[in-house]
Amino acid sequence: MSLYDSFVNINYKFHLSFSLIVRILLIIYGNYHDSISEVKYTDIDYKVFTDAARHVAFGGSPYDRSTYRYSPIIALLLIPNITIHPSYGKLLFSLIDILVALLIRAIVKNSLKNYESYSQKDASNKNVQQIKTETSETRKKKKKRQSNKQQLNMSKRQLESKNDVDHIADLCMTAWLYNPLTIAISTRGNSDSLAVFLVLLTLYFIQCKHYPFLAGIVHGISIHFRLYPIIYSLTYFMYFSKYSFYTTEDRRIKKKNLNAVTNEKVRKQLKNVENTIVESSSLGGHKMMPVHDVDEKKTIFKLKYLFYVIPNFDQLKLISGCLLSLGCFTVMFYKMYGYKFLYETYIYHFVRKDPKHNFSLYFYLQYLTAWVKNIGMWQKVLMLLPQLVLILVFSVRYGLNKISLNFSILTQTIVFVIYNSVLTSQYFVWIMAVLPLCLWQIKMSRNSALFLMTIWFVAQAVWLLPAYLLEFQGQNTFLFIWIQSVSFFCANIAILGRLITYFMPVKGKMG
Amino acid sequence: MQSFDYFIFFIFSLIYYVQFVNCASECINLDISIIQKVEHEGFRREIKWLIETASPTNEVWQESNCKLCLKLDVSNGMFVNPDEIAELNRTQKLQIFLDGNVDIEAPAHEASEHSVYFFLNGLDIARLSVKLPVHLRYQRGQITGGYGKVPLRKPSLLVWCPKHLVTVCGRGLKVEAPCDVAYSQVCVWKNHTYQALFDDVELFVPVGDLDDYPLVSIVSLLLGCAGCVYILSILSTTPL
Repeated sequence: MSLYDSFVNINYKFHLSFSLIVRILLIIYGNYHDSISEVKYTDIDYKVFTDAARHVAFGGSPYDRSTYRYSPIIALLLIPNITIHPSYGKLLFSLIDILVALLIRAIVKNSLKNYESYSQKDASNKNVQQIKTETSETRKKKKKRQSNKQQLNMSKRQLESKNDVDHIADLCMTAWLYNPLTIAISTRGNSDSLAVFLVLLTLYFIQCKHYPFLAGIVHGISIHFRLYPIIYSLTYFMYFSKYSFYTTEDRRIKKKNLNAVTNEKVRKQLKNVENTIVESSSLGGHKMMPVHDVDEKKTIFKLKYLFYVIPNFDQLKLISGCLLSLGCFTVMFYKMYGYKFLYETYIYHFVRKDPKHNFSLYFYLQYLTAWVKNIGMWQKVLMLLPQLVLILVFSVRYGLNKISLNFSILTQTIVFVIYNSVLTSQYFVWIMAVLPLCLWQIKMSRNSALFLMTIWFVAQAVWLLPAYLLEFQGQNTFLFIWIQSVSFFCANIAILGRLITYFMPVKGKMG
Repeated sequence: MQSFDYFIFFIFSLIYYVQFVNCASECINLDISIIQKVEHEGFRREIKWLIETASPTNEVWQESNCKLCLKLDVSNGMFVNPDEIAELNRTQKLQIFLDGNVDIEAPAHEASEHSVYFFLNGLDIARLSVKLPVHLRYQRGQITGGYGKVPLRKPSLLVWCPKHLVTVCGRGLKVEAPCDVAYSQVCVWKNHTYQALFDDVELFVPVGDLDDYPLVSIVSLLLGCAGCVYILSILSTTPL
């Protein structure tokens, strides 16, 4: 048995326990490290949370602490930092990491099972069987295509077994649990694991439980907590649309088969068959749509998409849940802490000017123009427009496809992070939490994946050198930091492009 | 009778001499020298002061119940983080008071000045080392870039003695400042001269180069749009 097989066969509860122990040991090490080193292990934000919790514990407002720009929930949750132990918050975030892992496992398992059931429908589609070929040449091609199909069904059968589904789900879970970035984030005391937990909980209620109202409630809390999940709203909305569908065939095999069949008539038939979609009803059931409804024209925007925004009952439940929880929290905390809460938690994130150096492509541009009066609106528009367009396109394109909901969230998160005007390492954890959900769908070779990961880490590492020289050595390296930010942006865009290219809603062995 | 009057006058004069003139000669001769050192480079610095007192001895000073305080006026090019100070007071039992509103995110030209009072109560004044973390602020970009200068002012040494009978020798300006770290009341301190064994310091902060603006704006904005177009092109050629 290979090392890989041994790893795959380990019970997921062991992974959970082991990774929790690793985290606890790191928390203990962090405390020791902080006591002996000037470069602290503990995140600066953790001090902010703790100070805010201290204010709350003594009857004050968390916003009495300067730079506290979060929901009061964090300060409330971390009061035991003052009353019990200063590391309580880190332990809490580590435990939430474990819950995130469980959610990843549940969502991946559910997606695999869903995909399996709907791809089987496709396999039994009579249209596939009815294709007739006339020439001997096309007969050969047909045989080839059928053999491809048999292979696909074989792999489906293999994957149908509980073990394979569990293995893939466990692997996706370990991609989160053993990710050094996520371990560091939670043990250093950053609250973003809590933010991604809420996002994943929303996805769980949407996909696994089909509770639109509850999903809306959690989504509202999620927006209140960190604001950025607001970009997923349209995707969630689209998911519950009656136009949303499951793809029932692997587009790569479709392409392969299409190329194999030269006869125009047969190709046309195949093309339609393999893009058969199922229309979902508001009650969760699905019915097959007629093949002629499928529009194969490749386009980014269609006028008929505008009909998608008319809400159905499920979508109304989602919206009302979201507005209810978001409204309740906002009103409650506004009553408690006044306008400062509104400003620091919500408004600040829209009007913030943070010219300090960071990974963002736009940081140097923002710094140079931060206090210059004659800068037109065009600059702001050009900074915002690309990400708005991409998020909108991803919301509709992948949001409408039920199998690619998670991929939609992943691509939007990547776009939001890499185009953000402020970008620090902690934002990557937003991506790291959603990426494991789609690993089984990204059909990339192990070498390609390693290559992309190397590019990503190298691009970050080379950024750190000029940033260190500026921050700690006082050398003027602004231009070099910007050049590295540009290369990091290019690396991120290239990786996003690769992910989209290799994405296909078919399961298989990862990596 | 007249001789008795003279006698009374003589006695009162003697009492006056003993009480006031003689006491003045018993003032504490506070002879302090300070060495200042700025550690680290970059945006986060640490100012270290080594305070040495030639006279009086620490015992005499403690008996006098006089207070010593180091006051630093922080220019708008730098700031002392109030939360960091609160933590130092809490964890290292220091007595630092920050006077003024500090916006830790404001750039230099939008920031206001503030003062730091470092109370040296209960410490051994014979040889005393204290340090204060300061942060340099970002400065507005300028043509040709380079470095901006931030002057580090010399600290003032404030002395306050509670008893009228005990004074510190020498003249000094009167300064109103908090009596203690809790700012319970305002005291009138004496600005005492000390021997500064250091030069005036100017700290250098890297400043963005406005000459880079055309290049940076064109490349950043175009690249953002190009990235978007690239992704859209992949989407349009990749069937779902």
